Amino acid sequence: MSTSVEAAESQSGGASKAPQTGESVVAMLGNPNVGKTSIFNRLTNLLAKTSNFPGTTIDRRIGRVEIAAGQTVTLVDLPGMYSFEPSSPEEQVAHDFVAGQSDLVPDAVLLIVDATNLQRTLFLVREALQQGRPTMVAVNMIEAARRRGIEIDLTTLSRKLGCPVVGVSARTGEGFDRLKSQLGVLLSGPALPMLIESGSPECPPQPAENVLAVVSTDDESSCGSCRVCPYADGHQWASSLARESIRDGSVVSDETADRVDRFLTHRWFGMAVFAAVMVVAFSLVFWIAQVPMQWLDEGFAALGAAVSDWLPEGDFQSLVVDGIIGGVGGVVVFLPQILILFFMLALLEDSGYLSRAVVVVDRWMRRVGLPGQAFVPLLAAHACAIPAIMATKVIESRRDRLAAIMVIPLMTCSARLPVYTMLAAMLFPQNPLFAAGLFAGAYVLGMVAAFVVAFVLKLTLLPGQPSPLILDLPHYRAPSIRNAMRYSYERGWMFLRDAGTVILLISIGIWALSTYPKLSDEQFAADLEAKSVAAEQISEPEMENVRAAADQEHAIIGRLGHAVAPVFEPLGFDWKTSVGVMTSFAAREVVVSTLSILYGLGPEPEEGSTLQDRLTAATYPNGQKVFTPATCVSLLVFFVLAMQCLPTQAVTKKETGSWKWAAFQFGYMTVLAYAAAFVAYRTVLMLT
Amino acid sequence: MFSEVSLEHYIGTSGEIARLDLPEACAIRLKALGLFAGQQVQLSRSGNPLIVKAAGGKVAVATEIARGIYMRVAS
Repeated sequence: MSTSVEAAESQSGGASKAPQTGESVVAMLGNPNVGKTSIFNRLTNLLAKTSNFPGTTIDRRIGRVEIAAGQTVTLVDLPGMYSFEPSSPEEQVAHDFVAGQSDLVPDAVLLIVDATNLQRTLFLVREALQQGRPTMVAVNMIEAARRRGIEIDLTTLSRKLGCPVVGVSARTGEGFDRLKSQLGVLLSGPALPMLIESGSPECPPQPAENVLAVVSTDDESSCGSCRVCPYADGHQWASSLARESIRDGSVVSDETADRVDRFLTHRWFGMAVFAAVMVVAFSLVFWIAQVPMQWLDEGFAALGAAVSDWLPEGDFQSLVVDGIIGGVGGVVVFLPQILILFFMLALLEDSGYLSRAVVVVDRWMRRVGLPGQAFVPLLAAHACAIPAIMATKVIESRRDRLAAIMVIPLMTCSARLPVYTMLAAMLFPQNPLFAAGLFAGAYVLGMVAAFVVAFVLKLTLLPGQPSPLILDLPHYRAPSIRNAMRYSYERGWMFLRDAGTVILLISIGIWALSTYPKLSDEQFAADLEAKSVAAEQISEPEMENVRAAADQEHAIIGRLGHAVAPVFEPLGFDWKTSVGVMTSFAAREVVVSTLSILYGLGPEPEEGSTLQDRLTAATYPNGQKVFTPATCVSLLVFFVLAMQCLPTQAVTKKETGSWKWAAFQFGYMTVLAYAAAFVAYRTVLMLT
Repeated sequence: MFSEVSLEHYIGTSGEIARLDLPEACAIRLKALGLFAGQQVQLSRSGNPLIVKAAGGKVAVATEIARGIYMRVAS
């Protein structure tokens, strides 16, 4: 059966599309971490982010799925919730949608529960059934439960719940055909209570033992007595139903998980493991990506050389080779690193480890004024600060939320990776281990800076204590390679899309600014005369280089570069790097394409040379190297700490409701980056 | 006879929750996660945050929260 995709409303805030007239709307509901988004992705072929971490879905996502020939339904993936009494903004979103208090009203509810933890996840089912909408339950991770010796009696469960129950596996695709067909039956059939087929022609269908019949009708407003507390009732019911529905009644021992937990959340071992995991992950990213990155780099260099031979010499050739291939290619070569990094982060999240990491770091986060709930957005910021800032909606306290928003852009986002990689490769071209160490160091610097800034904010602008942690720890599970690949593909595609649009346009703009106005032969001759250079005394190739450098300095970008160069000179930047810093205020990765263009357009590079080769070989007129170790470290520190992202600023304004906070964020990060880069430059100069 | 002690100072690896004395939003979240009066819980990790096992799951709670969870103890 085929599926089709119409629209998605994701964390990044894409607009939703209303379902087509007459199309049924199905709300997907469940606890966090039960696999809602994985099921949603499989049904709709969308690429929404999944994880084994509470709070990944903070807004609804909409997709379409064809459940039968000619019958399409709109599927709405709602944020995870624990109960119908909302205690967080994302639970409110889910609650309002199911209660019909939203722009779309669901015709049915698809509840997802975890086969490996029925007891916990069934609690919500009872509350959902009380909403009175046609409901169906999908028992996800059925194959994982089977592996652990848990056999669930779906018929008993269905009878007890009074609604259809299907066992599925979002990982293997098991049960999805049945899920779709049952969804069709649910939408066209009678409302609750359902009649359950007995499976035998002699026996008529049996009425379900509807769960609503056992729900307490006493005054449930207080929890003073467990006899009337809906939570106690609900959990006891869920526990009892889980026992009855597990065929052999066996209880799987979780002693091993407890032992692992004790180790991973240990006060000191836990920190050591966390640090080790991060270093190993980044080292692997660096090592594995080396070869494909080299292929891409050499491929773009060869493409540039081939196009140069093919196109007649002139501005058009320069635009294609230096502007487009040089500019975009300079950024695209970092695609392998981005794919591998997000693949590994997805595996770590999916395994359940990151929740344990929260337990380890919460203590430290709270000391500096950040709430434990900020860990998820801070982690998401390693992909991109924009969804991370939006994810702070899960933090209820405005003080905590502002503190998190202010420091999130200090986390290393994917746009910084090209800059880090370029500089790490220049500093340690023959030593991947040291390069990986520098890479990890840049990540750590961003985190430490975030903590220091949060602490300063706690002492000054945002006084007070952050909200204490309450975190549901998911079961450990084998991470899904498929999900990790889908996520990594999604991030890679976003990166390529940016390279093909924003970076392409900026590259063309930089090429134009660095090409025009042209230097006339008379102006060049006068320039040489002014510098007391006799044209006859230098060779033809040297003359070409001198001319190229003079052309660039005469162009608009050269003049701008020389104008701003004094500002960045204390950091060790030449005028071209200063231009790179200025052009990358819109987007960080633009510095790479800018340097690629400026060092590609200047004195003639060797044919087939890579960006790294050109930057390493770049010299000042006096022969001194442009990119010394001190300059590279200074540039790295600047890009770790500087804001350099206009879209993030716009989102900060939107989420804080004020340009004041966006301006403050930009201001403090720029000052911090400049000061830290200056200190780093001077320190390395002293040491080398 | 029974008395109450906060989870922060509770000594033992398992016990019964007597009551929750916390802001409403915190209490609702804890109850939804299976930590309510009368519930039997196991302590999986002490310190801050501490980890409590209940209702088939594990919940990490900061000391400030543990201070508002009262356990029943025999006096």
